Amino acid sequence: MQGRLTRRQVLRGSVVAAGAAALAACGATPTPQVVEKVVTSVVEKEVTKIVEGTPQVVKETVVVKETVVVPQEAATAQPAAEKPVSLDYWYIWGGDGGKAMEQVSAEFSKNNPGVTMHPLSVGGSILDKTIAAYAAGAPPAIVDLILCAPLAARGALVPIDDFIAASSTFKTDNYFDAQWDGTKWAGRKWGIPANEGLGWLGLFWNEQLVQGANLDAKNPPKTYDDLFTWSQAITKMNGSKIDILGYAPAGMISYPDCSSVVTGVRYFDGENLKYHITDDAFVEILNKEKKFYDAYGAQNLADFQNSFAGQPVADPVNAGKTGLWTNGSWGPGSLTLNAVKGMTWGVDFMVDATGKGEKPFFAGTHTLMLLKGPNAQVGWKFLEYSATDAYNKMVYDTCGFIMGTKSFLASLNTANMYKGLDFFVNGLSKGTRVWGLAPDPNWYTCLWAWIDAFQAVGFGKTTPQEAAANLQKQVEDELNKLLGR
Amino acid sequence: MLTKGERLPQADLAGGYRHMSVGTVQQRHVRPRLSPTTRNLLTMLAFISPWLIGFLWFFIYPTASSLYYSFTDYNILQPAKWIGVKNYTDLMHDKAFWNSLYNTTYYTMISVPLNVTLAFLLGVTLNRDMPGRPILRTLVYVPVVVPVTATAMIWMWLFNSNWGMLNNMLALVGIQGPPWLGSPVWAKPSLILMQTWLIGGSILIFLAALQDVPRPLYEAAEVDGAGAWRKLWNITLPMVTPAVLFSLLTGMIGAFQVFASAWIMTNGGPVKSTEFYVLYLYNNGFRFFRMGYASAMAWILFIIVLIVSLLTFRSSARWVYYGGQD
Repeated sequence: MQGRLTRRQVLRGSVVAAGAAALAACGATPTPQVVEKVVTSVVEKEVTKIVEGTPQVVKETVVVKETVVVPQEAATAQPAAEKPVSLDYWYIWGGDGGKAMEQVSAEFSKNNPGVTMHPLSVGGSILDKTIAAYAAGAPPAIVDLILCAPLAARGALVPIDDFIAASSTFKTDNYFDAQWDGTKWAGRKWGIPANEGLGWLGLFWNEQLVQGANLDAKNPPKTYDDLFTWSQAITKMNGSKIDILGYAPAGMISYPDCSSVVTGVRYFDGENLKYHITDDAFVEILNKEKKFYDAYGAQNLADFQNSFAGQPVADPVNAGKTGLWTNGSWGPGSLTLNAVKGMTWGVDFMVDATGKGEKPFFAGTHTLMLLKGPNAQVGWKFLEYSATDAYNKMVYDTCGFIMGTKSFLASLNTANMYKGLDFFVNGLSKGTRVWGLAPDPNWYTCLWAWIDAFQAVGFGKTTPQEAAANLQKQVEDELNKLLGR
Repeated sequence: MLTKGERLPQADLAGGYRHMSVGTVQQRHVRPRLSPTTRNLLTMLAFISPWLIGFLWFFIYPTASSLYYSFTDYNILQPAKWIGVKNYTDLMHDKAFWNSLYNTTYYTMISVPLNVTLAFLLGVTLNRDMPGRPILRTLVYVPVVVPVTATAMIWMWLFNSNWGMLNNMLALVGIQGPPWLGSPVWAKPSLILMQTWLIGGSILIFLAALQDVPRPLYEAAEVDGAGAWRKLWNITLPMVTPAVLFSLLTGMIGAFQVFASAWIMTNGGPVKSTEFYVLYLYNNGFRFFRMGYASAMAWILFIIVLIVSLLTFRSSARWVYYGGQD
């Protein structure tokens, strides 16, 4: 019919209407009252750095403070109320540990209107899942991992030095120096020690087995020779099978950082970015540990460890079948809850492989870190909260984890603790060689390779020298790739 | 009724629209109409689009990406850097790579023939008339539906060298059982043994194939005096060779990708004796931040599986009998 609107006419009309709307939007608007406001924000910016003597422009995530002009309403509004924020928080623990994380998350949400925490127990594959989530563009805002360097060196984290500097409540010196080691990379801090921070290395002994071998449980081994003598005295064989194991070599000492503090040589120098795995001290400690494999028979040792799998008491230590072993601050709690009835234990400093009589203590910890994302600033508030005694008390009351901040440790009553836990509470201050996690960007690679090397040497598949050289080459190659050298 | 100048859409032979003014000879072309073939194609694509999008997005795109990443230094967290074939050349000098390839080949070469043979024999057994046959058929399939983690836990108990059922049974006949998972020598055979528990799927394939073997062949053989063994060797086995080929191929592809059992039960140990190819690949990708390297490993595995599959296919012309052939 004539007079009906054609499609062309409708389209033309739409364009005219859209143009008119755009013009109207450009018209004068009432001028708002403005004020100046200091804001901090996380930005990625290009900075010039000297890399191997050559200035290079690199991208870095930094916290900047700037004075901006904002409408008065915006300046006076409560920051949290401006925009609701959801923060994903990932951690490894389930059970009571997971419950504790849920409780502190709920408490934080309650005290910060507009911020909702989403705590998630990710389990043992937390690193795998975190990097996959980051690659997919949906990382959690906050993650609890062992150390920062692997993610910081690959550009996934936000540095927190400026947040710390701007904070009125956060106190760096409330932590022991060694605890900060695991948060460092390239001269900056990328996270804060949190949740569990009492250390990973103590030499435990089963008092019944030690006394049964006529050894003095109050005077534990101080050197590797003592350790070997004790082990020989305690070990009981039944044919080719180990009935009682004197000393378990595949414990925390098979972690590179624990070996470092026992040998007195840092396997990774975070300042000069160099590995020292081929140092004689490491070759020597591989030899010392191999002596135990040889004494028991590597095959018998592996069989002994495996034979407890699936049993009601699924660990030879808890079953009361191991004389001496190395473990971390979680050991006393685990023994109290899982060891066979009647078993008692002691714990002291691990022997000093240098023979100088030092008291080596490894200040291993967990670390809270912020992944790059839009909510790093709010995420920092949670990190700040995790440093408070209130946070640590809630975690301790719920699951027993102890964060070794000085103020929180001072508030604890060690008389009521699990037997042996006082050693870890005091270890940070009483140890004479207290080291933290190496700020090693290849820490995970090194960890697995180190454990493999211990086993390969123990089974005689390779020599300590060869194992150390292979490992050194592997991590050096990775470091060179990472640093582009 | 149409008035003068009013237009009427009319389909022309090509399927497009031609507007014809009534009373005039004026004609003009507008957008051509889709041909039925094209329209059918689009309809078909629209219907399969949920699958198609998934296939392209979750299979083709990652596959193509992994090929690209295999030529890069890619740690997942930072942009990939092109390094050409360096990952491939590095792999050739990587002892752990060759160890994982050896472990996987060992596992495949023993577990696949063993499982196919066992599945065939059990299929033949369960194809016979016997009391409780339906229950037995169900029982052999049950392990297939048990989650791999539960299977692994059960077998860890069975393999326990001190208290496990296997060693206890061996002790009854005076044999001291091996350390199974605790020994670098026995760990791989242990996982191979565990895999035999999961042959229910292959048994099902063989049962279907066995029921297709024509009865007259057996009757003719019996007339000729053939015994049970001759019938099995000369009739049953040739007639089910397509099922053997299928089980062999799928078994090999699966065996080259063995991962979960080692991940749960041994974590590659002791002394890397169960560090299979895919386990090492996974560790490189997600533990050691070497996704480019892991991608190169994935493509090498793909090529190995492709070659082995093609060789098996080519050889099948000599030993697989399809019904209807001379």
